[in-house]
Amino acid sequence: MSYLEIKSLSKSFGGVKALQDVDFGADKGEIHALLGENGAGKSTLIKCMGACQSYDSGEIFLGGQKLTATHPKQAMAAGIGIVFQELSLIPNLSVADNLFLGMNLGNKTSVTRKKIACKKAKAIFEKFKVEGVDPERNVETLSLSEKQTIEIVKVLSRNTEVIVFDEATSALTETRVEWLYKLVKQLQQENKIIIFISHRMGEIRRFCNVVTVFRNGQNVGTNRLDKIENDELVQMMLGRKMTGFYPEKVNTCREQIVLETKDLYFEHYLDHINISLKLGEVVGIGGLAGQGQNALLLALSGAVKAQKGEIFLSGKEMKLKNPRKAMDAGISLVPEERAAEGLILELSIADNLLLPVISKITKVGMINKKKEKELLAHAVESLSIKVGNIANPVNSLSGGNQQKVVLAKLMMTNPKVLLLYDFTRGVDVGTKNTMFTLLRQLAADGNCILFYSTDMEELVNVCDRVLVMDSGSIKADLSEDKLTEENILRASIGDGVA
Amino acid sequence: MMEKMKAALKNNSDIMGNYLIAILLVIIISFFYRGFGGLSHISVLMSDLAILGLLVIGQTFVVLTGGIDMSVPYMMCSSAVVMNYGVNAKGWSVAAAFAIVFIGSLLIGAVSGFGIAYLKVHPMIMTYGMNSILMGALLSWTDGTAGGFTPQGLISFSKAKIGFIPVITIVFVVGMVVLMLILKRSSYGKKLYAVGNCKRAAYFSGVNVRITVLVAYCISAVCAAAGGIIMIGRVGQSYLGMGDSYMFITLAAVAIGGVSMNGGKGHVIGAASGALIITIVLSALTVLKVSLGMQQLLYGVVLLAALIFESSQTSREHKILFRKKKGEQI
Amino acid sequence: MNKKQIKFRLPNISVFIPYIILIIIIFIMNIYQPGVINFNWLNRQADSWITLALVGIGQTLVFMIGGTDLSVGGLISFTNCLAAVYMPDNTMGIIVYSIGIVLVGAFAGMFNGLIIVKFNLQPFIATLTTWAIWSGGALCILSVDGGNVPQKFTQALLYKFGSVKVSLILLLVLAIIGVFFKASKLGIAMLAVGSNEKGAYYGGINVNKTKIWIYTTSGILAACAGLFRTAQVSSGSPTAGDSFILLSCAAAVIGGCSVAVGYYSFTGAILGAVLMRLLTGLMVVMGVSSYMTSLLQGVILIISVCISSFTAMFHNRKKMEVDI
Repeated sequence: MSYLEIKSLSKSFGGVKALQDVDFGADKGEIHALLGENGAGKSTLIKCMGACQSYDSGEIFLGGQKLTATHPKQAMAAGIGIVFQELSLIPNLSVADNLFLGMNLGNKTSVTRKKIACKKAKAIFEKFKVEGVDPERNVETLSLSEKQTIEIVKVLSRNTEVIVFDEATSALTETRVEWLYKLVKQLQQENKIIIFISHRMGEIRRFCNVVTVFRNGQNVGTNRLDKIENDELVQMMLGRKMTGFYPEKVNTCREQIVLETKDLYFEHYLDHINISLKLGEVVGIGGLAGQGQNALLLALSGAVKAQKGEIFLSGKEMKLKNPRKAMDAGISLVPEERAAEGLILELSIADNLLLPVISKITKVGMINKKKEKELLAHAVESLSIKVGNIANPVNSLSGGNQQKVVLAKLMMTNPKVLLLYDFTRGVDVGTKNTMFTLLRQLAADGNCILFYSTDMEELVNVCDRVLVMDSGSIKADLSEDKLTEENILRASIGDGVA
Repeated sequence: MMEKMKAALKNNSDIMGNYLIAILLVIIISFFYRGFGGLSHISVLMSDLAILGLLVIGQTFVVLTGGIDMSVPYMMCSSAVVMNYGVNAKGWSVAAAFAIVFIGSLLIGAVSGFGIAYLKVHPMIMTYGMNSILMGALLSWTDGTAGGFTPQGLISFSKAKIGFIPVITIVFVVGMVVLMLILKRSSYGKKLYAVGNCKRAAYFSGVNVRITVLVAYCISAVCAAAGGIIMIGRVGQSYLGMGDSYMFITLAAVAIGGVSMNGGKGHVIGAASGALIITIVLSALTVLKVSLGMQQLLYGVVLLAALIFESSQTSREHKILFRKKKGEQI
Repeated sequence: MNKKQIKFRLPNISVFIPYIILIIIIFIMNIYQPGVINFNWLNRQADSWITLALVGIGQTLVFMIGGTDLSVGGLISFTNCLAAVYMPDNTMGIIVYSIGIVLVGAFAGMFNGLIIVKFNLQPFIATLTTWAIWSGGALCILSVDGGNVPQKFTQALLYKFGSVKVSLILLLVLAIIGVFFKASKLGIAMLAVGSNEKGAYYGGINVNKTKIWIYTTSGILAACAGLFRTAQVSSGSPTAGDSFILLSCAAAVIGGCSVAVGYYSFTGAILGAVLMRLLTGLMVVMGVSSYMTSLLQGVILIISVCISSFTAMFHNRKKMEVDI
């Protein structure tokens, strides 16, 4: 048995299986990479390990002892420390306070705690060779890189046997990445178990010696990095396929450019994005989650204003102040979170569908019953939504049907440009087919579609082009024979495109 | 048509329950106290209901957005005093006074709404601050006097009856029906419920959230002003502090009436049922000679009980989702 | 990206605002009543300052965990009436009774915290109901102003140690306690809960317990304010606390507290209270009618909240968030 041994771990969210009977092992001295695309289960696995998430079944053993922690603090005491992306720091407290949050420092009065904390913080910084951070500063004044460094040091100072880095390098500057590299090698010497989640192949090859690939909530295989090539890893991540059937791709792309952006910029989110979309095109956005895709769609739909850059609709510069203005101009969005942004769950299906256009079917402020009926009938029909009673609250529908309502709602505004964020998530194959057929029809009618999906198979089979985003910028523009799942994945992980 | 009515009854069973309770209360208490529940008493109750009811249905709009209007006491008092002082001391015609009160209340509601929706001031602070501002402004304008006697026409109107039903109650019921129509069948009403349930999703759906909220405060202000006007008709004169006792009972009525303090749930007919119960309870408490202190204590307890009851109805997941929608980091 | 970013941090304006306003007011006061500000004057004013300062601090703490405590209005009235009517005349009795009243405040605060946490109620509406309850309770004890406050009690709280009044000393003590509180476990926990509940939970902080303790503290402070008020006015009034709600919120906000920025201070809250009282006094001195006082108080509260709100918005401008 390995020192860190996970047996038959399973976890479901609602009906979705995030982890299916996962076995996993890591030994001392390993710098073990976890590789896999979105939703593969890596995050869920480490959350279960660190007791940030409960699991349905299975066991975790460390050094032969079973892990029974129910709170992150207990897991840490048992020996498992997880370095998250800087979310768990308290912005309004000082660095020192954050490092020792909730710990007893043996001070007699509260004011002397500050001194003790500072001294201890400096000692820790010296031990881990952290430079340039003042322990007395408030965390929120630090740069992203410094915050991530503090997050790392916070976990390391607890001296756990297992240290997990979850995309730790994405926020670090080059200098600090070097610092982390030396640190990780040092920890390896000290016989710690290091688990390293990253989507950058270059980094993985540099930092780690072992890699485990996850796909669809299952452990696909563990290999030594010096004995496996990238091609093989990519194949393991993709796996056997064709889980859906798609409408035929017909080139309906017209000459007219409908949506353009110039140097769209928002600090930490969008890095000088330039895109150009034509009428009749179905363009996909790929890349691993959190690389700026949502930010891009929010900026294009008028929900948030970019800090710099311009958006042009049919050649005219648009100041999209809010979603209403964008809708009136012909741009509509399916937002990221269905429950808090896409639908109002407590309201009826009818109310949700009509909300974007409610002002257009009124006479003297009162709703015109005839127009109401017309629009609703059209909406239900166009997406063949299985609905018992349209007056029922929308949360009585299944996830797939709810998603249909979201799309139907978007269609109500007759948009020229449709922006869709991961709108097939949680939807069954049949529904997906209906939706994709509709999208192709819309494209044929001369509309433009831009949609982000975490499902690469979809992107390849539905889109004319795919823009792959990483760290807020577009790393690849794939079309025709370059549009393959492997290439999307390669571009997402910073590997060259074949 | 029959199915629709049946469904409506089923969905609103708690409100139907309220109306039943109201009737039961009257019947039970009438056994103990002679005169209670008699026609003349019911007439008085109906007049009381007209005033409280107006305040309550106005407050309902604000509570539906998830906010609160604590400027009701001095909104009432201001409209009352401005009417009387304007006519008596400033020589306005009654019609002019009406217009001024109406437009004034609209503007004040708009200011409150603006502060809340555009400047992101917390509704409690904005409206409670507005209450103080109104008090100060009013006293300064009238030099500390209370306005004097009500114009005779208004008194006659407020005391007029058809049979045993006061005209003002009919006015209230008409107002209630109109506002109910607005809530259920107008574009504004749909937007209001959207905003109250999930501001974020409403925003993404193209609703102008800020204006929707602002208008709700305008409606509440106008209703409170209307309540004040009717009250001086009944009482015959205006006096300072005449609206003070109404704040808590309005909120208690709204809560009993099935309107959720978190927003997005409930409607004016339900709120009116709460107003009815409170009116009867108020009358009973007076008859039972319950002290004012005890009464206020009871309203606090009732409001708290209603909040706790509502909270126990929502599951934990719903609560987490709800807090997420309100913008908290979970 | 290897640039070394030299961060130019804009100092938090909210911290300085109370001091700036203080200087302006002192200046204006000197114009109207030259030389009025001296130690004796300070002593005289301290009595009216301490009551508002106590609830101002309480309100600050509650603001920092994202809530509002409206029940202080009712609590002050209740403790005031309780003390005025029932306080016995002997020394032992006075001491026991005073402690008892403070415990009542603690109980009331704890009750607030419990219902807010257990039933997930919005703080302002929950404390609105308890305001009604305690206010009603006060009315039950005293329907009109009255009561019989023992002389010994009044003398004790208004006592002068040499030339310094108890209130003044207490104000200083509170400021010092503030320094200790900031560094204390509860103080740190409070900041953590207010700024990142999830992070606080992961860090092992008991979020619910922290909230309950903060509300309890607010209740204790309100009860103390009630006691002081009893001594100052030598009577009880069922509406004694009503004006304190608005004033305490204003004092807290003027004192510079802000959840977004993560700043608060007892000294700031005390200054905020002092300023609110001075402003009222200034208006009297300047000949402004007493009616305008409540108007101006309302305006000041709203303006200061707006400023605080803008500071928060400016502070959060780097997040890519929808502005609804």
